Amino acid sequence: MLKIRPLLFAFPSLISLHLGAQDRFPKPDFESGHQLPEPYLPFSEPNSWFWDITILICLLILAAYFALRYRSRLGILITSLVALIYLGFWKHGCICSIGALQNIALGLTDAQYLVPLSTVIVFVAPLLASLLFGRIFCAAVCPMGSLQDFVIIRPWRLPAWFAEILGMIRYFYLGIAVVAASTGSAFLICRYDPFVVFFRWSGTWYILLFGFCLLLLGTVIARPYCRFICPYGVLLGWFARFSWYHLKITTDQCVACHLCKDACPIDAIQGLNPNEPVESGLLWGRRLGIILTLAIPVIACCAWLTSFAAIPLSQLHPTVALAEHFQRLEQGVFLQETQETKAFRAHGQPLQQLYEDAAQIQRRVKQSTWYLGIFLGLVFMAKLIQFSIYRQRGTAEPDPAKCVSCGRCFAYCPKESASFRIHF
Amino acid sequence: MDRRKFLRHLVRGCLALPLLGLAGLSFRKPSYQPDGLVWQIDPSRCVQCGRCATECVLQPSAVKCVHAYALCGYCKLCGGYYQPFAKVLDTAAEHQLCPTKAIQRTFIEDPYYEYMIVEKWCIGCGKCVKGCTSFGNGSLFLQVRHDRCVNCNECAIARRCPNQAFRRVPKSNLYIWKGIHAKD
Repeated sequence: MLKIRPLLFAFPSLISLHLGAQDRFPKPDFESGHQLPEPYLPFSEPNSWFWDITILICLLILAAYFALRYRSRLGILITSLVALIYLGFWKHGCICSIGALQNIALGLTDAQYLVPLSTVIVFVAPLLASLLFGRIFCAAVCPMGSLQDFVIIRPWRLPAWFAEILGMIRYFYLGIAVVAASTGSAFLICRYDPFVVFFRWSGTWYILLFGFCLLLLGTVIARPYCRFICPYGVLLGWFARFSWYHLKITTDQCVACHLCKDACPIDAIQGLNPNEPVESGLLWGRRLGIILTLAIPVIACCAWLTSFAAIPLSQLHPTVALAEHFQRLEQGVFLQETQETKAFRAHGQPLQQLYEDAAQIQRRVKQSTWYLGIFLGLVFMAKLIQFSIYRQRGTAEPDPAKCVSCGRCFAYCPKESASFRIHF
Repeated sequence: MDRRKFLRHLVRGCLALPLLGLAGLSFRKPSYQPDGLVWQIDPSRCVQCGRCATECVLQPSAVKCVHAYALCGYCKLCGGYYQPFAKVLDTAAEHQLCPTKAIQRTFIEDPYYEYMIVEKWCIGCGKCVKGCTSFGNGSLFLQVRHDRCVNCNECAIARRCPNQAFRRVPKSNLYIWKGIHAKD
């Protein structure tokens, strides 16, 4: 019934080197003249990234135009809808400037890792836009920001101290994500992206649940991801603080009516306190002195504390995880062989090599966690200094680091509506 | 220009320079890829663990089995088609390895049969690949299909791949093909 090919046994050298393909059974000569079918090799658009980047930049320009020049909330809303549909649902949330952060971090530390130019542009363009016009990327180009913007129903005002404490999560997340990415361990931002599951409509149940909870929370606490989690928002905030031309609530003289403060869902409008007395310079200087003397011990303490995170962080790296599994197997702890250990035994180098690689990665992670601690300490001190500076303000101004230029305040400003300059 | 304004301009310049530098650096990199990179499976490292079917963010997975016809022996007793120890070599589903019956078998001439993957039913479980690699020529293998792949930044399958068989390849050279169609 079965015709055994004698050739296989006659010529063992026929086993070819084509990527492990074995010619155990040679290709038959068909008497009927049968032609081999062509393999089907579907490909994606070879240059789709060019259009993606063009659209990203066009959206940034549109957002800047609507936020700063035409001053139209409706325009910003339409731009964000386009971004949500194209960059979100159509492109499934990839290309993503937030995630590109990790490629850059890994590309800068690992010369072997290739960062395509498109990724660099996706990372740099929103930051440059932020340096020019403030966080317009968050308002109308980021699909995650747009999605959250659409679900705001009745935003509560969080106490300022509570919002600031929650805001510190962003710095932790940024630091940990950069450490994990630059050591080649994991891309945590992509792994725990809460909204990409909606864009693809598939994913693990816990991320889906997380995303759903964030959206639900987003109905009463505006933009929870942007304000408390988004690591890229930290960078955008730094750049926006020095923005060249930021959105203004009114182009007229502010009458300090506080109406815009009520309109802002994310509390980005700085306090108005025209009648409060100005603090004496001596008092302020003394406070600054205390903070600065505290700085070095606080930063050292932060670095020491975060160095404990080195072990769990390094375990994210597959090599370290595999080496630890082998170590436990050797110690005789009852553990089963996994797919990884089997594959390593079948294909890998000697175990000693694996242990050395793992130890090297662990050392690198340990070192990075010290830097992470220093970074967090510096952020903490900078925040303290920021809170210790007391400024008297007679006009309502958006805090450029927080304001995402959504344009909600335009219509609430009585000066704006009186001038008939409002475009809806 | 007052002092405050000047300082702001200075900081602005200091912030803009590294950004532009970063963009410049990516041009200079010797391995600069103009058309971007995509994920692909290196068939020589694939151990057919079956995670491609379960770990992908897409359901069903973007990984599918492909067939390098030029390598195939057109066997009647195909290690990728039949369950091991199948008693009857017919097309009954219970004798087939494929859980979705995605391999179509056509008679060519005695004793040769052609096996074709029905792409729309394939879930990328790699059962047939394991059979073909263990007992046959290895002409069946897994590849990321780029009409489906959304090209995640961190490929969910690559993360869980036990033998690091996933790597990023230039978009101009999407497939790591076996046999005469090898483009790698």
